Amino acid sequence: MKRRTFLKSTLGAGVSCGFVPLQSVWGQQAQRGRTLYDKIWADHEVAHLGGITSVLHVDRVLLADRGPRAIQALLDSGNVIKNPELVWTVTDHAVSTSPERYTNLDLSLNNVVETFRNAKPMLDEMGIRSFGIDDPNHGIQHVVGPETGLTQPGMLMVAGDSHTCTHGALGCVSWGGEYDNHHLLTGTVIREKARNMRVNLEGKLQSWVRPKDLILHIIGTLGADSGNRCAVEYAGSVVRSLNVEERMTMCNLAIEMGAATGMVAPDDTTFEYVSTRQYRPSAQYWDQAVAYWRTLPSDDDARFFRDETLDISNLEPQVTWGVSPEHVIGISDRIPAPDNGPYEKREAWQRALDYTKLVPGNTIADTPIDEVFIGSCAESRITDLRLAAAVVRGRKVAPNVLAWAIPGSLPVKRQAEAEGLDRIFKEAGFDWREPGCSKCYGSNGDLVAPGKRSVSNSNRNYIGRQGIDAITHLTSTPMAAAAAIAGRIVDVRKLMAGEIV
Amino acid sequence: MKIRPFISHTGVAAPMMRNDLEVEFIASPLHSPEMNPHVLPEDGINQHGHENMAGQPNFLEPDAHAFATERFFPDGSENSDFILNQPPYRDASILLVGKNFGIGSMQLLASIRLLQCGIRAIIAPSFGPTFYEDSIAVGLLPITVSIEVLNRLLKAVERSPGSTITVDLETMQIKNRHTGAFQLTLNDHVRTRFLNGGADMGLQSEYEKLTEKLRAERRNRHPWLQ
Repeated sequence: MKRRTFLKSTLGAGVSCGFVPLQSVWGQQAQRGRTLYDKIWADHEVAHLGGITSVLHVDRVLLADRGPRAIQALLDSGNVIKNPELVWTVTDHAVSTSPERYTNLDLSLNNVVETFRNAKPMLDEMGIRSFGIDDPNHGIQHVVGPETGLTQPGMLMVAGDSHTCTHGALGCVSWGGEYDNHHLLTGTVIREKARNMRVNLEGKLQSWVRPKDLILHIIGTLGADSGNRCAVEYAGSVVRSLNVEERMTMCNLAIEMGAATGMVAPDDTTFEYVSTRQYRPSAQYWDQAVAYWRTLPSDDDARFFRDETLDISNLEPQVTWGVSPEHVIGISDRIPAPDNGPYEKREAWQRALDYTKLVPGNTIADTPIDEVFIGSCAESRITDLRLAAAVVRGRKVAPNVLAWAIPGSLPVKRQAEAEGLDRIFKEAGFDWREPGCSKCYGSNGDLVAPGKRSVSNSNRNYIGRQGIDAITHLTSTPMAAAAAIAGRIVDVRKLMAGEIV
Repeated sequence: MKIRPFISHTGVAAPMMRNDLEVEFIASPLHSPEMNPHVLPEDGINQHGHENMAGQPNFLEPDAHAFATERFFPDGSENSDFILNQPPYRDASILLVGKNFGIGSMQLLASIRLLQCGIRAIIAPSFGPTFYEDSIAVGLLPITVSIEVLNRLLKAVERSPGSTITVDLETMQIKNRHTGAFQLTLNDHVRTRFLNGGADMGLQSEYEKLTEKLRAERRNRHPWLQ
């Protein structure tokens, strides 16, 4: 494996979790030395419980597939949901992605389509926003939130799904986990404050190197537990140059580095993105909101428990070879031998290779594949689909490869269709399907067949993640598209340069 | 959610020193029939069953096991290589595990399955963030220790398999006959929750007035938030 370049690495000795007294949170001159995470934390702190634990006010409670039933159950047992305007619910894991799902309700699990349809009048009346498949904004929760403007900078959001960290791309604090009825009933959450960590990316991105490659490289370099108990802020000139959708990909995989959450400081790119959203702040308050959001980025003298800087100038498209996102190499690298790995990882590497049936020393490129999945909350937004379409345009999916393209939401799907991307995918031999989580996890029944090898633009390559005995290689969206065309793992740059037929 | 109070517990400790262990490995929806999302019963609970928020999780299967895919062969017979199947560790109630234990999806079931097979506490250098929170929610005590402490406990347990470890939340100590006592570091609210059997809801209600006050303040200073 190539030697990774570290420009700078500091590992602070102290835990920078300084508690900010409530009285001083607002109305006084801003304190210095605080991070983005510190500021949002302080702004939501109801009470400090001692140590690093606080009661926090929640701005958004996001419920997935079981939302309507959970709300109904709470009401049935005599509870009152005090802050319905904070709650929103969307069905994504359990819904079918078949185009027939609108009429054939049996295709989705748990009667989830019907449940959302039936509950809609009640939820509307309560003021809870719900996104069943009939709603024009329906999609994967972590696509819908930012896309509709329900997610805004400076917010604190909780949800039941571990990839809730995606929303941090807009400069908010968001995480998944815990028992949801606490949040629903009280509008608060009890939480331990994470440590501050920052990853700066510097250098010049090569063409066809995507945010997915950046975050996989970070996880591969620093480790799948490097963000443990940390709120990770992605920073540096490279991150500043990414659009909001690309930042979402980076924050989406923060949980894959073990982080409590991932974030990017809000800037003009963010404000421009939010300004066109349906649930954006009203015109009357827009300037006030932006003025506040501008105070959020970490102070120049902010202290981080861990601060890493990586030079990504020589980074090439990345591919995972094992069963953890940290098992990742560049497309021209060779599959590592466990004996050459770090001592404590040898056993895990061997187990990974046993599962993925790869031979150390071979190149990862040219590994034959069976399926390609383009979708998921990691990358299924319009930027990603445009790039994938650019790769497959005028080409055909290799025989014997099953390739799916799934837009992350109905707005993404409509936009893609307006641009003719759906035709490009279909003509190439892709299945163009309806929004949902689908084969990233397979909880709706969309699975990679047993023993088959899949190239996926999603976020997890764990054993059995996409199906029993299914092997997953994580890549960026264009790399997944290129694999579909070639029928094997290839360098998308070579395909686009005509070096691969 | 009420949990079983945890004041002091002494139990056999089993070493499972694998790093980066996924929640799906502890309790895989793909490998346990009652949780398999692909053969879901009518109105069943899929792997997002934890979103059933109206009380206790209702997927408590009496015969369910944590680590089912390691513990049993596909034909249902026991895998004697698996540590929790070996005589000194069959009744283990404490696990000594590698770093980053319980990574991956939010999978409340993983914490529940561990409780169901008698595990009360897990001692690790670090935990997956959602597993850590989930375990606190259901009453499985996640204890973070330094690698040095873990290695000393590990050596003691390996030297005499079946020996016990005591976790005492009153004195905040972890003890073993061979290693002596180590100071336990645990967040106050976690300690309180385990000592009194879980009263987070009560705790949050206690702060109702403060919450309302902050909410009013926030409406004032962030009027765009709806």
